[in-house]
Amino acid sequence: MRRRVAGNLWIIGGLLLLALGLATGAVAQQQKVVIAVTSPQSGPQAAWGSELIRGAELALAEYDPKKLKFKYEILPLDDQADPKVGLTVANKLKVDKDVMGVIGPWNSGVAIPASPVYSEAKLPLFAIASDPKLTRQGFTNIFRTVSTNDFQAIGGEAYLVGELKKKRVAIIHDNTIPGVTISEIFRDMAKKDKAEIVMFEGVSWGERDWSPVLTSLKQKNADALYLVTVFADVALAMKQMKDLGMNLTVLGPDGMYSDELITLGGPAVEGACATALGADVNKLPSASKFVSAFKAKYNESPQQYSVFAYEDMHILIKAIEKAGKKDRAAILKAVREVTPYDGALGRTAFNGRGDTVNQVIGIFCVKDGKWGYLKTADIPKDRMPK
Amino acid sequence: MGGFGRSGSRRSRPKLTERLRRASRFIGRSRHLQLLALLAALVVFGLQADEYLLDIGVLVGIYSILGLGLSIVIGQAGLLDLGYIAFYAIGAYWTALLSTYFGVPFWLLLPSAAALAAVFGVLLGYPTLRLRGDYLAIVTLGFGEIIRITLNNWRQLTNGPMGIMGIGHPRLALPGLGAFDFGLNVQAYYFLILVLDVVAVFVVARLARSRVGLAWKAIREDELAAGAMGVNVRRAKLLAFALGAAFAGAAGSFFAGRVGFVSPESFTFVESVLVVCIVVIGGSASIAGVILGAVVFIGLPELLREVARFRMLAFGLGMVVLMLTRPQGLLGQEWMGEPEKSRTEPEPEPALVPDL
Amino acid sequence: MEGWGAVYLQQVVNGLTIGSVYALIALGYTMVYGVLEMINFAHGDVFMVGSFVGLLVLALLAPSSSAAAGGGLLLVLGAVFLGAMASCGSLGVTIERVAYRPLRASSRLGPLISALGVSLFIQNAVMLLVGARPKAFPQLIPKQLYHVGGAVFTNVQVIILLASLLLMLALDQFVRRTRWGRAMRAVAQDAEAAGFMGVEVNSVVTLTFLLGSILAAGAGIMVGLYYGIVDFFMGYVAGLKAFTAAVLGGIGNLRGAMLGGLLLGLAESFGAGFVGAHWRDVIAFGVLITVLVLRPGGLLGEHLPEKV
Repeated sequence: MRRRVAGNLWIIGGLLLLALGLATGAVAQQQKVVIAVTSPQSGPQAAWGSELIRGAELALAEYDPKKLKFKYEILPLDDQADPKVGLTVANKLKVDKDVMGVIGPWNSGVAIPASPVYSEAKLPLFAIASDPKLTRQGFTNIFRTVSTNDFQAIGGEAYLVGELKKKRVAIIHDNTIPGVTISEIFRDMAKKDKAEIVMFEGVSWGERDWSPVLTSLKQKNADALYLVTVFADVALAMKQMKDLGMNLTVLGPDGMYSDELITLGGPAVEGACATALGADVNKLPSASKFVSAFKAKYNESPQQYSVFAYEDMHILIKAIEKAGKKDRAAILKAVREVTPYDGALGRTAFNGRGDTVNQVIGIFCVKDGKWGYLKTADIPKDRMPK
Repeated sequence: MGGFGRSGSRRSRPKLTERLRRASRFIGRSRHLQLLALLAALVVFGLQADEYLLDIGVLVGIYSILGLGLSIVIGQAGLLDLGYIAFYAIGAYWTALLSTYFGVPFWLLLPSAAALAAVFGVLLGYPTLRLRGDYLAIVTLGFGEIIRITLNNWRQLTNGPMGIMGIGHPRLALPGLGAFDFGLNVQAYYFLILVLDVVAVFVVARLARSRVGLAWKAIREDELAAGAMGVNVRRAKLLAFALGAAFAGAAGSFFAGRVGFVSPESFTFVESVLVVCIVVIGGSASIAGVILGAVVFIGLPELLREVARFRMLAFGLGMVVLMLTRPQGLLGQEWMGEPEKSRTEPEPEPALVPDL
Repeated sequence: MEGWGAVYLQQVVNGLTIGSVYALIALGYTMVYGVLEMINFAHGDVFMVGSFVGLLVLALLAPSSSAAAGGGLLLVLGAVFLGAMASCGSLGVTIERVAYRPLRASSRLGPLISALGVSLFIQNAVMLLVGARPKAFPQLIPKQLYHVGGAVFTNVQVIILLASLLLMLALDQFVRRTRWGRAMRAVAQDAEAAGFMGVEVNSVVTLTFLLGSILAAGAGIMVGLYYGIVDFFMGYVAGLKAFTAAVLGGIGNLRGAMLGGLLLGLAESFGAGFVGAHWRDVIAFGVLITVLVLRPGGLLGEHLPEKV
């Protein structure tokens, strides 16, 4: 009995070796290149973090694998929005010799402490995190197709206070990094433009019950609300505004610019406006291709951040193909060579720090249950982020 | 290794295994030798492993200290603390603030963070002395959340959710070699946390056998009887809170120095729960159990990365299965925490008795 | 809005709405605690499952629900509540049977960890099944706004408040008047003695989990109807707050849980409205800690001296 087991083991082992040999033989023609996607993929922020994987997958699916020099793989890594896990992930990617590019992190609180490790590893980091400080640390490996927080705030203020001439503005944010930074920059600009800030409040992230803070807002006779949070919370807040019989002009940064806002908010979000990157995204043929491909594959509309991962993946693949070798420094150089890149976001090029220079902020509003493009924000020249 | 090495090892195999067996038998005889062997293995790991594995090692080290500290509170004194991570936060922010505002060196901040956390431990412990069991659990939980939210809201001092960047890394002045900055050197942190862990293990082991350790045990088994026997229950409980908090404060200080950045995101309720799990799953009052718990809870999720999507699902399931199969924890012999007999004690809660 | 009176009134409305939801969930915590002396950390997730089952039932009824009007609406609502309550009831009973009962003889920490594991499992199972994105919960009841004394409230809020009170009243009467209720109280006082007296302790425990989960399912549907948005993580915050409410009122005490829920809701509304929304949870926990330091047994719990 024992011998038979042993004999079987030999056979199984032999088969395994054979399979392994075949497998490596098959891959031998095409070397493996891994692109990691790091973001919160479990826990309360999973809804936002998981979008990045989808965006990257969609971009990769657009290539014919046979025509590529490398065999690309996407490696999703859950950083749980936790700085310490983000650091572990960075070290993991640093030592993994197949990893040639990273998309993420989504949270600035994860990206900033991990960025020195990525820099030391010379890994191209396509961050989705939007804190301006991230690219101001002097690293040369960070790129961002997303707009930074300061830019969202300046664009929003130019529209709400500069163009619509709102004089009594309330600001409510969600106590996150983008929430607080965008709100503060907006507040400072609005004060310069002689608008009165009648309320400046933070609500816990993921808060469902907005009625207490909205009740005190109702008291303040505001003529506009700058609401800085993600679409699900905006939908909740605007529904409860409606229940309280309130009617205010609502504007927010790109976290709310998503079809999901309309799905969740229904008629309550009619008239809400958002600032988002780019001129009329819907008019770009490349963008509509992305949107329809997303809907076809995942059976829902893309949420705001997936398009950035999609764009980043395209740029990464192009850079790696151009470099033609698994050499991180060469790929970093190639990123500069394959941009400007014309894609779903329009023309993307990076400035010296690595931030996109596609700094056109569009105003989009919900009209008849659909996002529509209104205009670009007129930002005074002297306020453009340096 | 090549062909030679292979045939060579095959020839000497019986001899080698025999030698190993003899050696292990020798080591097995002495507890001290066991520990030395383990330490040697950890040092070899530190010298050989890549940065990813070392980083996990550092995290296991941090959570071992947290677990050991909490095992004083839960395992030895039997007080269920669900807001333990607040002390870790206090240590981390103390380090971050004094380092960035005044440039105080890390080596001064590490012990002072522990002391400050101990003070907070007493501050929390004092008003809650009268509370028992699950009431204490919810109050400590609330305390943890209050600390985290305050750190998040106090924009002027703590920079709010953006956290504090640019915390000074530890530096060592080596005679003749100049200053060595830990910077991003994971290996250096690994050895530093290893030293801190050895100290922590030593302290906890000594405490368990000390007079106060016996007092804690007495309180855990029966608070009433302990008081009647002349144990100063108040002082013993406060001491447990203070010492447990000090461990967390030191761990927090190390964390701040290693990462160079702190933000409130690192100190959520989930973190407190994680440390409780490490302690209970390992075996509340067993030092080796707590460290094993840290290895399981920090290392396993990393291993499980391969099954990314099902990771947390498997993890939750694993916790249930583990408790069902080993309710006393992996290495716990007897059950620690609140004693079984508390059921038969006169019921404090009137429970569902309707009161009109 | 006219003057401060109206603001106060409005915050009372806000607080009572969220408070009645807390109270419903808190009842589940307090019943289990009363009978087993354990914190069932998975209870918040049972509440979340209730919302999603409601959503599923609605999706199955989709063709009829869109056209539902008048009597049809009531039928749909009935089906949604029934479906959610039935599945959550069995979920709660299963959790107890599988994850808690084998641990009953062991320490107090064992079931706690097991409960945390169950919570993590349910959360992630739901996330894998329905996705991480928040889902819209159809607004079945056409909303109507009422203006009273400067405050505004909707018919949905009225329904939530009434339905919660009704459910709580029913539970209270059940526990006080029926044989099963008496058995529950007996087990809560002394499980061993109750067993000797012929009470089937296991059945009573099962019943406790069944009732608690049914109430949580009811709360899940109501939250879905009120906010119109549900997601896999909603049980976490709600569960934490409800647990706080249960302790505030005196854990183990049914009326305490109701009182604690409503008080917590009011404290949060007034705190968030007048002190600042970002201090909301600090106020909630601050109230809890103050109450416990002054009355270690909670508001309606018996004030127990440190020792007998």
